[in-house]
Amino acid sequence: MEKEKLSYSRLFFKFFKIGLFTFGGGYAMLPLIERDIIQSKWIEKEDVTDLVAISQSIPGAIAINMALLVGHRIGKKKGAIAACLGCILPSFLVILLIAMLLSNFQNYVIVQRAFTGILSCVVALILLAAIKFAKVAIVDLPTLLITILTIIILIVSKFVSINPALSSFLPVMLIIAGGLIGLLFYYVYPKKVREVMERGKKK
Amino acid sequence: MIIKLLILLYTFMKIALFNFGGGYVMISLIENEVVGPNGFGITPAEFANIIAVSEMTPGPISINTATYVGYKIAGVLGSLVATLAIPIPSFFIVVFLSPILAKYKDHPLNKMIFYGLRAVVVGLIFNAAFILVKTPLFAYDDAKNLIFCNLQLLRDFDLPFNLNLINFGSIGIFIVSLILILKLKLNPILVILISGLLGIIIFSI
Repeated sequence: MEKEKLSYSRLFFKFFKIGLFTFGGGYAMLPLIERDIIQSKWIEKEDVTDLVAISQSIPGAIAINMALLVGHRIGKKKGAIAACLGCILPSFLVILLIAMLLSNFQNYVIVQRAFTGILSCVVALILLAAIKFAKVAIVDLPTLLITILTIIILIVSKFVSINPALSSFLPVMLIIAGGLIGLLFYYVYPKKVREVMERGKKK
Repeated sequence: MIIKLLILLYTFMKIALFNFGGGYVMISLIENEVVGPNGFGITPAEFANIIAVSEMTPGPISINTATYVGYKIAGVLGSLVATLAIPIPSFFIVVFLSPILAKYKDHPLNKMIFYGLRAVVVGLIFNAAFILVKTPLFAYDDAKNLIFCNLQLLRDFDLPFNLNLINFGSIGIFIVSLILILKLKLNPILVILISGLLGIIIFSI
């Protein structure tokens, strides 16, 4: 296939299209972005696969990270901004429209009933995502303990009153603590490091 | 107003900077910041609606949630600020740290940090589900008139869970949704629509 012509507006519209038509959040968007960028031949296939891995290892929204990485690779800062805005704009417009409309319709009983039903489904979807993620993340006893401890801390924090300033940083502190535990293992537990690296290679 | 927008910008930049593991983790982080009297005063029921809409609409869930929460807090300007705040930390990381990221992608140090971090992320995703289950929207037995109308009443509803308030209709739809997704392999968006219809039918009886 021919290499697609390159411009900031093409970059913008590629991500706009994916942002507008992909349901299911960042994890659903990632493979579509990967496929589209490989097809356009803007970036080598191996490099795209690398960017997919990096997009998940930096903080923020995964799809946005991927847009920024692809845009930056192709067109530096301006490219990153074009791809990112393309990715965000459909969400922004759709949600704004719904938020404005819903304030008119939310008092209808039928809308309330529909939402109550939908929420049950959303809980099911999140639980399934949690289980899927757990299969990748919980690989041994220490990771299992970290997960259980996280859940206990989060639930207990709802019952006891803690300092608001502290409570607003609680999830952030938990995430940092998780990274620090990994860091600690790196320095004091070389056997575990080998184990984790071996597991990574098998995939 | 300006101060409110600046706080909104700071809050969502902080959320984005420490968010690993995608949109469902961000539900935990955003709820922690915006729901309740210590946050921006969004009620649990309002927040549950925002998540339901974010899940139903296209695009990244975190962006959808940020836009909606921003709108609730400070109108169109608020939604613009909250939405644009999410990519800012990532933008600087990508622009300034890209070469380092590519080099250390497979480094054992990086792998080990994520070994610990991912386990916390799993806990945060389970917490996101728990946040929605404990809302009166899901657990109240009289869902017919509670969701949007009595927001003032819900503001005081702060029990983590109350067995008397379990809504069996909601549990039924939850189980049906699981079956439709896992056994019949239906598209999640279709299942969301079906569960909405089921809600209309079940809660009308």
